[in-house]
Amino acid sequence: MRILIVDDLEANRILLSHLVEFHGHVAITCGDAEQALQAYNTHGADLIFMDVVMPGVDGYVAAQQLKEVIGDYFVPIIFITALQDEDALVRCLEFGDDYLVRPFNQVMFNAKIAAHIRTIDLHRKTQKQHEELTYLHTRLIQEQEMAQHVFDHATQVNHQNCENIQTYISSASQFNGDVLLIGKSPAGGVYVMLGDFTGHGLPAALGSLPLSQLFHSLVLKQLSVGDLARELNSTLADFLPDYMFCAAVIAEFNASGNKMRLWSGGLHDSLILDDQYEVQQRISSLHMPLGILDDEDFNTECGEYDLKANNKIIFYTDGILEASNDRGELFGRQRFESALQRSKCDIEKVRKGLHRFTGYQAGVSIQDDDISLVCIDAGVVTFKKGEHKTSEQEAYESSRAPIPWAISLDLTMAELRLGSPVSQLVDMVGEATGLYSHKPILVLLLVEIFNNALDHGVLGLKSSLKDGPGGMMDYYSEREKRLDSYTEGQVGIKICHQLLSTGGQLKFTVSDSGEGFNYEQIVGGTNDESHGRGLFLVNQLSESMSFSDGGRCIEVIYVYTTD
Amino acid sequence: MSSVVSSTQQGSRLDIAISGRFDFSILQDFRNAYTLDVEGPIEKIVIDLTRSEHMDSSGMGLLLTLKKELKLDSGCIEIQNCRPHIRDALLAARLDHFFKVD
Repeated sequence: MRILIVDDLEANRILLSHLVEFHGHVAITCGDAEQALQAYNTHGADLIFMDVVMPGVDGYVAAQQLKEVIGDYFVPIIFITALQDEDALVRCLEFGDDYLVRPFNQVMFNAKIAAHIRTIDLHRKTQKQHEELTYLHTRLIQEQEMAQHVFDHATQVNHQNCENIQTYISSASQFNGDVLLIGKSPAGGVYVMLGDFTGHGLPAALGSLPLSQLFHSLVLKQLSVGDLARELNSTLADFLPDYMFCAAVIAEFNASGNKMRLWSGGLHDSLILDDQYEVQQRISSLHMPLGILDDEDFNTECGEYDLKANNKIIFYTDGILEASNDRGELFGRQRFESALQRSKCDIEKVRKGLHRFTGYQAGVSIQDDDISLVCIDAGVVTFKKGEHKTSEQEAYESSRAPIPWAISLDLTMAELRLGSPVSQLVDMVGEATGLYSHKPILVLLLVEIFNNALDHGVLGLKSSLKDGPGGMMDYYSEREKRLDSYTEGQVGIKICHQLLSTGGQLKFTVSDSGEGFNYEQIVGGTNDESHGRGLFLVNQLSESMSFSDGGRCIEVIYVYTTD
Repeated sequence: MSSVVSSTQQGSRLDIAISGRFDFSILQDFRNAYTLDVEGPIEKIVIDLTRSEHMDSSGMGLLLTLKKELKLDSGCIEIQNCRPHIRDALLAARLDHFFKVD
């Protein structure tokens, strides 16, 4: 230990430094306050002995000055004084940490030093732990911020702007253990899933990551809610530890919003409200939460509900019923349902009502559990325009400017036998133009003109084969026979992309090695037969359709606009 | 993805659901659904396209063949839950004269 001795009398300084050095400490001596400050700044000290009565600046003031320099470190100052009055000793403890009254014996002096060293050690240990804690805390905050960023981005795409849906979501901590997923169905309807993971905070929120990714990919496949639940269940069963699971409702609304299919496991009753906002039907959960059962025990059974346009459907997690006020009363089902009715399902008003009840103030009160409330208006499902672009569309638009291009290919008989190139070609067109949402219609156009060239051109099949009972069967078995046996034949496909001021156009040119046909008859063709519809459809859905080379070559133009 | 045709009969009503492509590749299965796999006369058919992502003129041909073979009146065959582009194609082909398109 480095011990600073401050005394104006040399004899005292010598005596004290002997005592100190005898016990193996280093003594630094000074005669007044100024020297003491200088010595502390130069050498530092672990413990200071200070005389009270000194000429000029006295010991109390010197101690104050030193404490200021010492700051947050812990360096005890022990006054050595001959003063015995209570007042003087109280001041010693006020400005310093301890005192020793002259004359003192050596045993007492040593005991004081030993006692203070113990305190110093203890203090240093605490200080070190404090520093470690501060470091860990900072790191934890950084990690949480990073996790938060990931969560925010992963769940951002989930709230596609469906105008039928109102939500109130409030998490008890930085991370939400409730998960709300909304996905536009390819059929024009909407899928809604509300889940509540065991517990709350980060561990509960973790499960929502794989869940939301999977949900969106399954929605694109237009899976039934039961099958969707099964897929989510088996993924969660793999991901989550045994004690964790996810209570959930999964609903699909058709495009006209008059039908709801619902799978529900472990969550509170879902509600269907009538035009007076009164509960018309309670749908209790049929199944266990997701993530518990093995796939073979899983039950995909779901309910189907007919809806009227003024029905409201309510999903919620238990946080809202279990929210309590300072008297310990719960918000409960009755208050909740009457809040829905009084507010006419204005979810913002329900939220305010809940806060009035609990006395909740953001940033002040603590909320016990995650709260989620979703209200869906039955009736035609609509999305805010332009705000539900797929992530691939957004990535495309931000990275590329449109360019004109052309691809062309000639398929021989051997290649034609391998199957239709249409979906592959349309995928290429989609990638090259970003026209992902146009793909279904492009597939249809190209399928029709390609099949026309192959069937009627290369394979020379007559549509009249389809007439009569079993005609379709005859036609397609003959088609298969000829496709397998013909050796000569070719279909050429050319796709040309051009830019227009309002967007662009795709020109499909398909030519075949067949005998050609009388196209004028076909295009004006009748419609009540079970054939001759393909080119009629192409004509309807495209900008223009024209033939050349005696019907062996067809050119179809598809125009698109960009917004 | 290969297509799947599944059907359920309730009295004289037949529900047929198509998943995958609705084109000539399901010809046999589709025909079986309303010929071999039914008992007694059928008066109403509901075709659910919730899980069908593509239909072309050959699929429409199958629908028209069904109507012709069962000699059903317009309005007895309902097509439900089509995706927007399939609906557009059905309307463009004016098939809404023969089928009730939801």
